[in-house]
Amino acid sequence: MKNMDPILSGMIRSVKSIKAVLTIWISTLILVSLVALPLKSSVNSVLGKSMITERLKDGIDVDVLADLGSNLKSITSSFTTGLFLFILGGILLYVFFNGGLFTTLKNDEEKYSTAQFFRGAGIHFWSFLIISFIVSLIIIFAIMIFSGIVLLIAQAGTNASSGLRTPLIILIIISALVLPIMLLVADYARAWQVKANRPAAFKAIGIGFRQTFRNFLSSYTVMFILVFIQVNFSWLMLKFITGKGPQTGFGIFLLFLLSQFFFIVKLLLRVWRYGSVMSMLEKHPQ
Amino acid sequence: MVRAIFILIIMISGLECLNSQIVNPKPLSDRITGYKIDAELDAKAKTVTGTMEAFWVNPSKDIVPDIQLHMYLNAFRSNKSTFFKEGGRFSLNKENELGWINILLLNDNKGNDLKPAMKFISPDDNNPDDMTALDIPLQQPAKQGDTVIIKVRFVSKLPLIVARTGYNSDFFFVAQWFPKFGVYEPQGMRYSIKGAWNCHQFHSNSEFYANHSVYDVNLTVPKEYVVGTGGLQLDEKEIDGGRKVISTRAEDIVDYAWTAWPGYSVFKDQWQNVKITLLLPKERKDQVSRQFTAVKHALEYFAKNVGPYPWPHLTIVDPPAKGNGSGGMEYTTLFTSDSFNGIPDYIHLPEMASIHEFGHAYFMGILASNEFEEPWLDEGINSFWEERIVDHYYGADGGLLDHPFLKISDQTYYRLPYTSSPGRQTVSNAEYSWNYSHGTYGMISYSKAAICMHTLMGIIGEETMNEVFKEYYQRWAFRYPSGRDFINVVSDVVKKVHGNRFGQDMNWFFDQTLYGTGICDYKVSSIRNTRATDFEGVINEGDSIRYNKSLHISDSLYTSIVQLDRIGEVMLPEDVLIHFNNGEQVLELWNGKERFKDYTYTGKRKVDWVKIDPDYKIKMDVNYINNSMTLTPDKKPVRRYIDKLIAFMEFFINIISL
Repeated sequence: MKNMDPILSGMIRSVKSIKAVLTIWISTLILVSLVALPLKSSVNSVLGKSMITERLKDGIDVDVLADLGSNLKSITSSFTTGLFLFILGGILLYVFFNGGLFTTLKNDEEKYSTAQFFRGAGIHFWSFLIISFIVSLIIIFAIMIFSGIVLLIAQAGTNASSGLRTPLIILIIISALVLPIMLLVADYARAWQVKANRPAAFKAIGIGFRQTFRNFLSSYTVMFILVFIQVNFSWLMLKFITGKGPQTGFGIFLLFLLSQFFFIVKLLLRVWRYGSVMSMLEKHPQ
Repeated sequence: MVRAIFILIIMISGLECLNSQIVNPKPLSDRITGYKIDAELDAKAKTVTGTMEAFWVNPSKDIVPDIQLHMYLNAFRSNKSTFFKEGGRFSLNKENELGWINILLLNDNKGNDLKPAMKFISPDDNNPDDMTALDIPLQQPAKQGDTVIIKVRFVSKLPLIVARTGYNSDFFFVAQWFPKFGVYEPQGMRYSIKGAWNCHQFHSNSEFYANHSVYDVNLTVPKEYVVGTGGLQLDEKEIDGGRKVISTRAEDIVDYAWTAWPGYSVFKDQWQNVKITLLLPKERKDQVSRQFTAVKHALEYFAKNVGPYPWPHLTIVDPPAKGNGSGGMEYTTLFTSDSFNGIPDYIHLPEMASIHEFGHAYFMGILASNEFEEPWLDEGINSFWEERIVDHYYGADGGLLDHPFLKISDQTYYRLPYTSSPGRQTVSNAEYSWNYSHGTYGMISYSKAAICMHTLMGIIGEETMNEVFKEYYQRWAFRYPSGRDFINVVSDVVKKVHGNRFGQDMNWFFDQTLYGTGICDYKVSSIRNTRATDFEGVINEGDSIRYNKSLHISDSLYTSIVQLDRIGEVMLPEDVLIHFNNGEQVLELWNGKERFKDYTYTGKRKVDWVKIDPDYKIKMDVNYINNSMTLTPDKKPVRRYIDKLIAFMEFFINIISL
């Protein structure tokens, strides 16, 4: 039950930060729309007054995609460029907002202040960028190593024509167990950074590692629970997005509203995690 | 008389077993050739050493001075072979990875040594380094009905498997492994103006054209090896040296291949009287029922719509990963599939591969067309049937991939390479298999030919199409049809069923589509609804005539004009469905010949939408998008996808940022 305290505290902090969450949601929606809406216009323009859209009602129709011909190439090309810019912009935007979020979550007594949110975002941007970059590199590196091992195992089994299934399951389990650790490092580092209120990214990462392993069991349990909830919610959300979906105009509008609601909840879950780690850091300061 | 003489000669020569019936109650073919082979696999040296007695009967009135043999394993002898030159990639880097076949002894029935006079020929490309076709002058030219018997001792070194045949460590797939007769085509057979051997070299894109033959094959292999063959297994016995001999018999097939690997698991099943044997790696047991089901579907569908599968045995080989190069090949009563562990149920690639390769038992096996010269007649028609079977049994929309998020039919899988290829007008199906430029072989001979057949079916109807193939089977089973023979069957059946509705013959269709390079593309150009004015024109009023110019526009009368364009060169009859705002529909039949076509309607209704080919019967149309037009386009499906995309992108960026 002791583990529940930071989780509870994180939840309260996240609810208090709802305005910050809504700010992030609106910003993300605008950013996505910059890519998605031109895509919609292009596709509509290419399809023109054709009734071929009938064939898109039950799912993606590859015949229709192929018949877009050279238009498909230009649409794909501009979408790919847009997607790349979106990912780049999105990462930077989230690094920026995370600074604000951690600043907001720092004090569970204080009321939310938009000015404080953006001030914190600005102050911590560069050091948060370094922290995110380094921890992401570590995660990617770890995944590459694990994947390499999996491939080696699979290749060793080639003679017997064994499949990739078992090694892949092992890879997923290992990743699921290791990922919370890396998230703890990143979150502790950022929480400490905000608490210390000075830009020292590398020191923050060091402290992130130290803090993670100092109270490993309790920290890991909290993070595992939160990641578990997030993953399950993400899975549900993905199922919802990839499902068949409605056919009527109102139904499609409802789909849009629901998907945005789910996304806001997803953001809240993320903030819940940050708040819980902040709470743990406050409980066991350096 | 000729047959009696032939039987007598065969009996005297000791090849009488080849004239007996073991597999089927009576011969299915003329059996112009036959082979009795004793071969031994040296698993360490990767060689097959064999002795062979084979016969060829001169089926023509010609006096034939020579015989010609396929020596196809020599395609793997060096990077200078035609096979590798055409393929453009040589990946056999070590001496022991190369493959070849050497004749050690070659005698005729009288003991004359034919070896000194034999020489390699390159009838297709004059490549002096290619050693895949062999000409052997006879001591005594063969007259009509003469049976030429040869006795051969050969050694075949198998290549490291890169394509079709070879070894990989202890896995062996042994195809094109013995000297095999070419086909002597008498005058009038297929396109033959005068009698001659049709013995092509081994090519990157083709390897099949042979007479239906009888095979008596005894294979000696290490006893731990599991063997699968294209024959009916008659006996298996262990002999000294840790070996075993497997005796097999195959009748009326065009090629004999076999495989040996200690890792195979063997499964048996049966469809009617056909005993099916499946060999696959032990770890791939989850594929067993999928493979059997797929092949039984194919057997059933072909039997119903084309003709019976006439052999009581069939062997399916699903090679291990290390034998991938041999996957997806066809040897009539033995074929290789292509699957792997854990392939999800909604992906029907293994089924597709098995149905396709099994289909070759009909198209190239029973109906033994020339794959070198008319690959569409083999691959294209077989792909058409594969699509029909796969989509029939696994879902019209999701025959190939049946996932809630994405469905792909097998028909679409074949249509796309053609409709989206920039090279679709480069070459027609009138080319030999090695003359398809710019890598268009698969797209033209498989995809285009298959959708040509679908388009034909769309025009003449499914029932008529089935009748065509039943007739094709009736006329040409165990013979050697050409493309023209097939087209003649189509014309005859269509005329019988539809009279002159489609003309005197169907050449107009094949000349444009299969043998042409034009594309088929029809378009709805515009829909115009204008209010009709009240009467205007010349009015006769007793003694005077006046011109009435009405300024009054009618409230209820409309003139609707639908404009259609033919963009492509191909002219095919098209259904045009016109829908009015009062719910009425009109189906117009357009011959599709004009470049522009207008349909005008006057009445109290307005045209709402128009569809050319509303049932998508003309699969050759390269653009379905412009086939229809509506005044109220439905943007909802696109909106739904974009909304989902927005949610997915938000989700994605949230996930990847820590």
